[in-house]
Amino acid sequence: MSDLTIPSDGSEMSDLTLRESDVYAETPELHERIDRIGFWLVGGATVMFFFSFVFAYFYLRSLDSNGLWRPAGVDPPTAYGILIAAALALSALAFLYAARVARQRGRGWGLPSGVALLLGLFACVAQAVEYAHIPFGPQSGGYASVFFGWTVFYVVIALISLYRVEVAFAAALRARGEEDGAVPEGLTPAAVYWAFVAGLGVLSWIILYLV
Amino acid sequence: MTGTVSARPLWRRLIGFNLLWGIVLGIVGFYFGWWLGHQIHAESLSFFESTNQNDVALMLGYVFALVGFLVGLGFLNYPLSRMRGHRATQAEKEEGGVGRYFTLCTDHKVVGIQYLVGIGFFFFIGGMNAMLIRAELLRPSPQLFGAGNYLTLVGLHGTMMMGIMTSGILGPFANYFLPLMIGARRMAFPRVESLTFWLLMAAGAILMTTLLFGGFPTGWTGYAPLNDEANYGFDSYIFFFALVGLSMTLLGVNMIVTTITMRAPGLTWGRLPIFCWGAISTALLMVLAAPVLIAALLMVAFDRGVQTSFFLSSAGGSPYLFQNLFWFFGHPEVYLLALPGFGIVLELLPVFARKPLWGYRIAVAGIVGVALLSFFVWQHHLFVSGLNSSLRPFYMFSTEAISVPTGLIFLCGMGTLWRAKIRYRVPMLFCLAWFFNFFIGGASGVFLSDVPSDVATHGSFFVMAHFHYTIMGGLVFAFFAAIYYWVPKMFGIALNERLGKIHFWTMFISFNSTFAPLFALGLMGMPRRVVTYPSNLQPLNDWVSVSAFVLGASMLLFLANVVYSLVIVRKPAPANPWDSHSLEWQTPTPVPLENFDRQPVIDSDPYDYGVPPVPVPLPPPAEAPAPG
Amino acid sequence: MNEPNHMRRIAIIWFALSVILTPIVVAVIAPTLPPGDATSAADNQLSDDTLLLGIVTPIAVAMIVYFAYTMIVFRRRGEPTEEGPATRDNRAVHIPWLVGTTAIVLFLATFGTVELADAGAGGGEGPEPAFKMTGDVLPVQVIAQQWEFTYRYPTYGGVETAHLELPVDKNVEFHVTSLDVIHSFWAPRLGVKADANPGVDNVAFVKPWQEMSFDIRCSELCGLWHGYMFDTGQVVSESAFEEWIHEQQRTFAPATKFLPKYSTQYFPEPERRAG
Repeated sequence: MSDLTIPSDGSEMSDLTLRESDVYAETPELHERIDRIGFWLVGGATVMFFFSFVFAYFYLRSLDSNGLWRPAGVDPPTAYGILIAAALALSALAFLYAARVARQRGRGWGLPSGVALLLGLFACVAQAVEYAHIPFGPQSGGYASVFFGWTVFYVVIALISLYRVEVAFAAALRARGEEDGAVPEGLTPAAVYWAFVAGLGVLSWIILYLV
Repeated sequence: MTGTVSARPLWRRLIGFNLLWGIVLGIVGFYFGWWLGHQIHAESLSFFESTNQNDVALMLGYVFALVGFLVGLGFLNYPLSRMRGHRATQAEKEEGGVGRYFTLCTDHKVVGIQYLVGIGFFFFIGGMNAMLIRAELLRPSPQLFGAGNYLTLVGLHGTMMMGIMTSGILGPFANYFLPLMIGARRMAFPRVESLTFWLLMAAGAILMTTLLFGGFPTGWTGYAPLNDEANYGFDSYIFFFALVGLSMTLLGVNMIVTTITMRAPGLTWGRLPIFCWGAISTALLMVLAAPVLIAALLMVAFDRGVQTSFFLSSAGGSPYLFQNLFWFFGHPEVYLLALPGFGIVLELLPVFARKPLWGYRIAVAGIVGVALLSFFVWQHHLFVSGLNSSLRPFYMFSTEAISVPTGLIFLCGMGTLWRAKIRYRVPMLFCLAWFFNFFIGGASGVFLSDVPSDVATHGSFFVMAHFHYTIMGGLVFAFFAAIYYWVPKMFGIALNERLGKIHFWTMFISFNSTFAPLFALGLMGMPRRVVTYPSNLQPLNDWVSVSAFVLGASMLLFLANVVYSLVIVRKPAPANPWDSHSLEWQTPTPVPLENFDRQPVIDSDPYDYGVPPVPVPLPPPAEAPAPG
Repeated sequence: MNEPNHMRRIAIIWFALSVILTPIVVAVIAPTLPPGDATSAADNQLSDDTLLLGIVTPIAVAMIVYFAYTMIVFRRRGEPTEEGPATRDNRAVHIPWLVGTTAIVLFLATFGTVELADAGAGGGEGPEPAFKMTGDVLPVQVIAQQWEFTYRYPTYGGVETAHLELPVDKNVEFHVTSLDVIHSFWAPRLGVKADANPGVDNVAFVKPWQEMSFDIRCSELCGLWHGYMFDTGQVVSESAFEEWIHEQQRTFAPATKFLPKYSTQYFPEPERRAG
């Protein structure tokens, strides 16, 4: 508002001008920026989504309604929890490394993103296997409700987030023969977002298994 | 938008990724999910065998119906090509002709018009429900529908309006005009933009299917644990609102990213049109609030489907959990219905007052202030629920504090009208009516925010009158203002002015005549959503019903205007019928595919109306002696 | 250019109308409004409403006068259009406006808190009420279920009746709870509204000041027959109440012994539609 120009002549209808300009073409920087800000916002939405489950966890725990928050024996197997959290953390590190390599050298991101993809999928499969070996069911009180709701939707969101990991990996496969192997746009924001989601997975391990 | 119309025969053009195949695959997907749901056997699901209502089957049916619908529309093509390693591309084929309105189209102008028609359709259905509700309330005891169907009607009306109309202004008008106003060629995520629209349509269709499954008795709030014992049809409520939430979240992300990254050179934050401020504040609320709703509804789906107990106090859960989560979303929700209205009204006032927007900065502060405060007020919906009685003074204060930024919006409107040269065109009439309605809505809101007064009015028709004044009086009036204002740009044809004025006056008078008596009914002890009432309240209820029918008829007048102007007369509108200085009116009509043939450079905000104040007033001309 | 002083004209019209209308609203209309002043809680609510009306009326008059004046005086007909003055902002206006609205809000919130502090003004305050009635209170439990209210008097042997009677001029402590879904116990003339949540003890206080009969309605959507969940209660003299409650105790003695022990919350098996 400070640099506002008030037309001196009242008869001037508009001083919004359409001028020739050379900045019209979209640049990779613009696309990177769109991806970065988009992932920040999607990250905010993801946080609010899991915030609901965190809130449910602590709220129901503090109420302990009818004494059925967590009856005896409602304990998820610790080994699975550690396995899933570790796989997620390693996957995130691998993909961050892939983005870093791609940024610095413009190639060689294929292997680490493949590893990240495998580890991420492994975490999701391990979660599914855990349901088969768990000593309680979804109807076993408040904790069991939160545990099942949270982990199921965590897997759904992790699978959606792995889409960009897969895209990076597939782009690397396709770029194998080419000399200048085009780095997919938005690899760094995607890596940060996947690390963020994996971090939420580790956080859910801390809350659901440790606290 | 001079796409080449294909010369292929019609049957050939129908084959491809379009709405037809979306619907076909959607139905196929539904039956697949339905079949799959009946194949699942687990201990916690054994109770389904004692009834013929298998919630898991219905939910899976909806999930696969949605997947089939999106596949049929072609939403999987691009992700699959990326997953096969192809590069990111913006060069998606733009089909010409009418076909692009029935498929995934990445042109923001097409999406805007899709939204306008789609939302208009569901708005009409929601309005019809309201007519049926008022018809039932003509008599103190049920005559037409009976208690169960009445509750389904109430739930459908509330859910449809609160769900679909969240995108009522952002969907059609921000999608269409925000890129034009900021000098961009496209939205930041064009495919996501199209996705938000088709998600909303899928949601609306799913909500309508509740009629096939017995309806739902919970109203739009869907409180637990009533939702746990509710009929089969409640699953469609869950999927409707979850999809609306998803659509809102994506829409919000898209709006904010577009505004941050795609502004034309010279369009600083201080020059951003106020409508864009309204849109991105709304978008922020959508991004942060809607995921909470999705999570709450998925918990409900789990409670119903796999027997968890999030909301059952006898099994370790708590109904308060749902109320907290729902209203943590629900209060930002009602502001995300109101905020775009603020934007529209303040955007249009300067055009018709021929003055710059008075107090641009405080208007922005007002809009952003309302948006931020709205996250700290949700427990005023729970003032009599027994929750946190020691926090009530805080929520009372924070709720009343909302009137400070809202007051700034009023101040800006009043400042803009001061010494203006007001032209009473149809959009201006709707904007001025907005101030009247929203003032009544806001003032009654102060009564509701003050706890002692709220105890008397909570959950009564008083509340209903209040939020119809803010939402219908705020959002819907702004919605019509925007339609009358921007239709000449969108279709190149102006709506008939005389019919528009008749529509306005009918709507304004019948609106007030419908909702003002509801304040009295609420105070006299009529709760919401009841199918019976004491017979001494019948005269007032009949008055309200008749007014409501007139209000409904005014919508038909609007439809008549649309048909008359856009189909029968088709008189081309002038290029800039309102003499607006805003950027969207500087483009040719119809707007070309790439919006601007050159990159626009902005060197002022769009409110440079008016003559600058003359420093020294001229002395009055001396009385010249008559010649001769 | 003899521009009249618009602002002064608006101020005069506003002042004249406010001086006439505000006393009418506050002194004539407000006392006739529901919920009346038959109980302490209703009185809290009504005095809050009266104060709010007293503040809202001059503001509403100001709005209507301002908008009507500008819309009439500054209107222009037809084309071509004239342009208005290019005034953009005036700090001398919006700072006082901001201070004024903030002051009103603070005042209203303070006044509301004062009224609320008088035993919660009849609203349900949950198991640990922040604002209580002290001294001798009569506890009455309101049990909501689909689709009726029943009432238990724990100090009279936990008898459960289908009808609500209260003694006049005695502090009453309602304990509202539910057996299935959320209901809301609303007695408009009594000035009491408290949600009935399953498994929650929602406490509300009231002191009836006169003998009367009052309506009770459920004001939270609770399922199919929500519209039929209403009842009538009575406020009677102390002796009539004692007589009535002892008669209830005698009549329901065979039933009372089969009732679960009085408790502030009950946990029946959850109502699942398939269960």
